[in-house]
Amino acid sequence: MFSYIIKRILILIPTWILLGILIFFIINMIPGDPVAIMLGTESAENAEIIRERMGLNKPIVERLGIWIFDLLRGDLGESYFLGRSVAQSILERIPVTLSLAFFGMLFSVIIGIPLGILASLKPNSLRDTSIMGFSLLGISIPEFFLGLLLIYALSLGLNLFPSGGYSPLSRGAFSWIRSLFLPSLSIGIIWSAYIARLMRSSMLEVLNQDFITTARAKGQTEYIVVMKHALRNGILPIVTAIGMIFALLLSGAFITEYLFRLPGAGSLIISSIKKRDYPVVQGGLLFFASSILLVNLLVDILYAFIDPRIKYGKKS
Amino acid sequence: MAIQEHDPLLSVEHLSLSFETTESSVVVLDDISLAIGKDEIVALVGESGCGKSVTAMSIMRLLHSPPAQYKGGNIYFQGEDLLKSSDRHLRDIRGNRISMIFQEPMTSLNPVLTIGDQVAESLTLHNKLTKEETLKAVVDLLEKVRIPGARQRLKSFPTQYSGGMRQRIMIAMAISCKPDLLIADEPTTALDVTIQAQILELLKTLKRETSMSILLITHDLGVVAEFSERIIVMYAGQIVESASTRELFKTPLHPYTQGLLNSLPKLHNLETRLKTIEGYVPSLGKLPVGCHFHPRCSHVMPICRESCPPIIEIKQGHTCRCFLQSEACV
Repeated sequence: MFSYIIKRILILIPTWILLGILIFFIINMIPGDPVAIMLGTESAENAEIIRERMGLNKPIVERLGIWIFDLLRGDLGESYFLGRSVAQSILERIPVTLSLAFFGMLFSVIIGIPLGILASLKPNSLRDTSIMGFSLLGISIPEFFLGLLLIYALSLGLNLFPSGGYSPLSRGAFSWIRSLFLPSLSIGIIWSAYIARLMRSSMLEVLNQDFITTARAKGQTEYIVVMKHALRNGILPIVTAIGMIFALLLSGAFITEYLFRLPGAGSLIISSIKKRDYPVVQGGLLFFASSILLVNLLVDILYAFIDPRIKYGKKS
Repeated sequence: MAIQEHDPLLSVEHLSLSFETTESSVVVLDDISLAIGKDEIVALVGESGCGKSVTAMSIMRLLHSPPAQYKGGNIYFQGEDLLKSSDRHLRDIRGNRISMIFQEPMTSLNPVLTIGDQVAESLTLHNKLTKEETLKAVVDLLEKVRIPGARQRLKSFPTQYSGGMRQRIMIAMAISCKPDLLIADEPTTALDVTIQAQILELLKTLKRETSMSILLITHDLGVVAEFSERIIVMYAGQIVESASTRELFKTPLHPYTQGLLNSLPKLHNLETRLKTIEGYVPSLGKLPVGCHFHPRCSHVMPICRESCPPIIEIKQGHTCRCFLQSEACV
């Protein structure tokens, strides 16, 4: 097990470098010029000087070399516009993104898993159909629209939560949670729709297995049959899905962050792309990609604990 | 058709059951009557899809409804009608007084729970035991079904076991509460021949020790011959013949039973090709009119195409569902 983890981490290194190269080329291929954006309507005379100072006049391969070399020393570079290092500006945003992803995930699991189980217990019943109807709605509703509905109902209507903005944990846990509640709920509802669907089909499959009949034939109560015998097996595909969703949330909650005016990593990347702030975009994407790789690794390790059939690093 | 002189342990009377969906209704069990006495081994024999396993599951009331729907009849177990019992009462009976072994040992154990947990489950459900008592009982059970190194294996998982060993675990679970009736649904079908013999031998020994009754469901007449005292033959959802093992092998009355016995290989006559029964088992949704067996029967008469023969007792303890026999009776 331990050697397996080490092996997996070692494999991460080449993957990571390859990713870096890919990201670098893609970002630098986008048409657009940060210098032009910086100067605006000012004369183009200074452009060459600035370009030289920023190192942008060097050939692309050389710039890649410099970036990778800096990267290996742990230096992500300086932002063109923010007046800060890339690492610093990403690190500032991580608490927001991480807590949004965490609470969003929490909501989606709390809503999605019970709904999926409930639907699977009586397939094609009214209950099942209504839950699947809710799920279809959740999958189809645009993120911004659900967010607006929640703001309209719970913020403007009932005045329970702020309509946007972020209050850091250092200013009190209560206002922190309040500021994150609506955006997390909005993310949670959408992903709970997927989780409910997945949970339902996984449970339906497990509930038809022979060992479920065995458990019933022992005289076990239906509750234990479902919660112990079926759920332990049915949850396995959900763990993978939760890992994937969490990784996605770490990188992809732009719309929700924008709508609720949360200073997360997603909105940082979007605004940096608009300004062609290459170092920030490169650093940010690399950060997202690494978090996906890491979450996947964590899920694989977690699997070995939930499913005894999986034994890593041992030849059977 | 109560054959037992004394009150039988289990008596199924005129049980009918169908699978109902919104589109169709299929009669799966048609007027099933059978009785199992105390300390008796009864075999239920028939081809795949004839309703053997459904009979077993219906006794335990383990069929899902929908689609399963009881259409009539009674299932008396130690005098109580299981069809009228509450769910709670049924749970007290399942695994405790009636227990079951299934066909597929590879899939009948939960892959994510330890062997120890799974064997302990019925024990703790039906008995008040302390942790140490449970542990000791589980180890005893595993030793009883001849699992070597029982104590070390409590923490292992089903995937670490072979098919034969998993079936032993299933048996250990089934006998853990000393049931009065053990239903074994094709317990050896999925196993290879040497393991089959071991499992049957084990069941026999356990039966001798505990005096439980066994309902053995199988399609293997070889297994039946050496194992059971009485045989019930099923065909297309109906019981077609029932007699003691000796009687049935000596004078089979129903053409289907005769066909089954003729298709067994015989040691003293290895040259001839094995006889087969022509045709296929009809699908339960499309049963022929009249006797269910008539399209495959070599003795078919005009009446067989029109109505279904009743099951009648031909002689003491030997019943048969065939017009040939009722004609002979008249």
